[in-house]
Amino acid sequence: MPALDAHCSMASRDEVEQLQLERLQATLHRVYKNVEYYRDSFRNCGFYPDDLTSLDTLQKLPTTARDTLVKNYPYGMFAVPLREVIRLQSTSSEVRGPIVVGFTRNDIDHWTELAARSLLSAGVGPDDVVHIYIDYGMFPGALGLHYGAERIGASVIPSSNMPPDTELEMMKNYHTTVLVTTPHKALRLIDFIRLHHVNVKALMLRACLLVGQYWSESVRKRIEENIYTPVFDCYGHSEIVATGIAAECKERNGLHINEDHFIAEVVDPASGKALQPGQAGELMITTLTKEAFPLIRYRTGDITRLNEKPCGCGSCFVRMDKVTSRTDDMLFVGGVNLFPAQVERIIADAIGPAASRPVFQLVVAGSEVSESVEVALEVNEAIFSDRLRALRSLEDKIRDELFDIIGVTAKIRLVEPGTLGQQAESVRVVDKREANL
Amino acid sequence: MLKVQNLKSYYGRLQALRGISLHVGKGEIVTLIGANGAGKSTILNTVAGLVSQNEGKILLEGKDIRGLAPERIVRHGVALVPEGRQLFAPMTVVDNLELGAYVRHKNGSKIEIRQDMEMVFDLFPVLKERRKQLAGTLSGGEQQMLAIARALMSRPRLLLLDEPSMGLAPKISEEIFRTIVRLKKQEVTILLVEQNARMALEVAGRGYVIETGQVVVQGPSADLLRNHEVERAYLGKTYEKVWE
Repeated sequence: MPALDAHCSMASRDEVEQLQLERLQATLHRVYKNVEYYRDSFRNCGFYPDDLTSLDTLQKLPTTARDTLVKNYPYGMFAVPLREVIRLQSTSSEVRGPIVVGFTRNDIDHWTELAARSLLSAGVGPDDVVHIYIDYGMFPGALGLHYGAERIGASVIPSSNMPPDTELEMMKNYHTTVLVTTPHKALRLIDFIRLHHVNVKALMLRACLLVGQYWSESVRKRIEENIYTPVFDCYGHSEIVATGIAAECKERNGLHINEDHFIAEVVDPASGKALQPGQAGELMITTLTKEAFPLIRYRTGDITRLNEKPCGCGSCFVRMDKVTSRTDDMLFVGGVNLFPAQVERIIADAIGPAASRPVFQLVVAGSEVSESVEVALEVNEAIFSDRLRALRSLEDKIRDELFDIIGVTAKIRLVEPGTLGQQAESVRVVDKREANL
Repeated sequence: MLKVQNLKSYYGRLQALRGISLHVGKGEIVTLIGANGAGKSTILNTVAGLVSQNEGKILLEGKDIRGLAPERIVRHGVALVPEGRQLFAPMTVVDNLELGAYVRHKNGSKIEIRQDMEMVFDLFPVLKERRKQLAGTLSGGEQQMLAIARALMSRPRLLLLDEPSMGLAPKISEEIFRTIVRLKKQEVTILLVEQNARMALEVAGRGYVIETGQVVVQGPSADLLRNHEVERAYLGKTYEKVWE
């Protein structure tokens, strides 16, 4: 199996580029043949897959935006008939529109290999007990890592939503050696450990993998200081594979992109122009092996930098910086993606159809461990009622909808008209968190 | 070992290959599969120098051999077992084998060639029995073995096999495939063209699916055996709607 083959990432740059060229040519022929959107967009720019003679030619092709995937929802971007798809994963979002990603058996197999590779590069082996403490339903990347750990031959403990004390008890009793979780959950565990003076040394942890959220080096430091275990980062994208696009090696100085399966480019988010290695910009991914849902130059919305310098681990795969920001206004609160536009839609629906655009502000506060969201909403004629109960029920309605649709628990505060003023139009989000995740 | 980049070949004004890239690592068996007329044999013939109109790169251990005369390419260590065997029918088995070693003939090489002949006789004992027989009188399977043996006599670093099972009874073609597996153990690098995709993917480590002069899928054999694009490439079957 090539992904588990250590030689794969140890190949020379020459070999990697030959493989990329071969796979890119096959992918372009396939999308041209099978995906109407790509056929049209290639034709519009006068490109025919035969014209691809080197990897640089890729830069001439149009990029694929998230909106395109939404427009072609549900199956427009599929390159295989549905009967060959064995998994459908929806990355739904009220405001930005739903997307469904398909995987063939080979796609799942490749994903598993990539996840296994990510775990291997963090030093996970067949003798490890891998504890996956992620909500499997909320975050599909958990499944990838689960399969990956099984492929390595490690013992996997799936556990989604246990309270921290049960979780720590399990980790102790089952001799967990590797913890795979989200930064949010990790920080909650640590908070519990500190609060209850849990003896961390009774745990047998030797590595921790954080996935699925944007987090900073300070978070890494805090976790490492508290559980005495190196923390590794693993990058994925829900429209491509949710885990395993890139992962940190033992050097922990950037994430190696699995270049035998993906081509990464970094472009200026505004102009779409290619940037030099080392310059920060939006990450763009071209899939090389995906059968059901291939993407050409897909704009991930994640900001990063590429580093082509050789790495101490010997792998020639290019490295990317940890992703800590995005090109859009997406917020990450309590492990959930949140868009201000999404909140606006929910408020507008709650008020009723006739109302003018609601004036509101999102205030995110608290520490990394316990975050709180407050929605300050100006009361206008459409909302106003002389009965307190009506206002209260509006508050409840918005709060419930926010929880049901987005999954975030928010406090609703009604304020007098003009309180938020002009600034609410431009500054819809106030982030008061101590250290930005 | 072999790296092909953006290979385009033409027969007159007809374009047979439309930008093929592939590679074969040392000691690997790589197969090219696809329907009739997809361009599989053209790839082999172009690598062997038999198709003169072409562009792109053919690198053999880093050295561009594209455009060299066929006999020069043989000297570089590439041997082609052509489709339909192409033996010298009125000559004996031994003569055919000696001609296979033609490029190696020089003073003092006689002993080496004799040793190599013993080696191919080990590989194909039936040829030893029929060493004096005329090649044209051999059975189809034996002729195929002779064609492979003849190619091996030039001590190739890369063996190009074009449809070794063509026109053979299933039992005989199985035997040919067993020989290919044996060659693999001797670390001969092979680029194999086959109509019989399933059999080819069983002996090869990796494969490329060719359709109308292009690679549409590539990857490890296990992946290809599960990929329905392979069926489509063969049957020319296409679908209108994704939920079909």
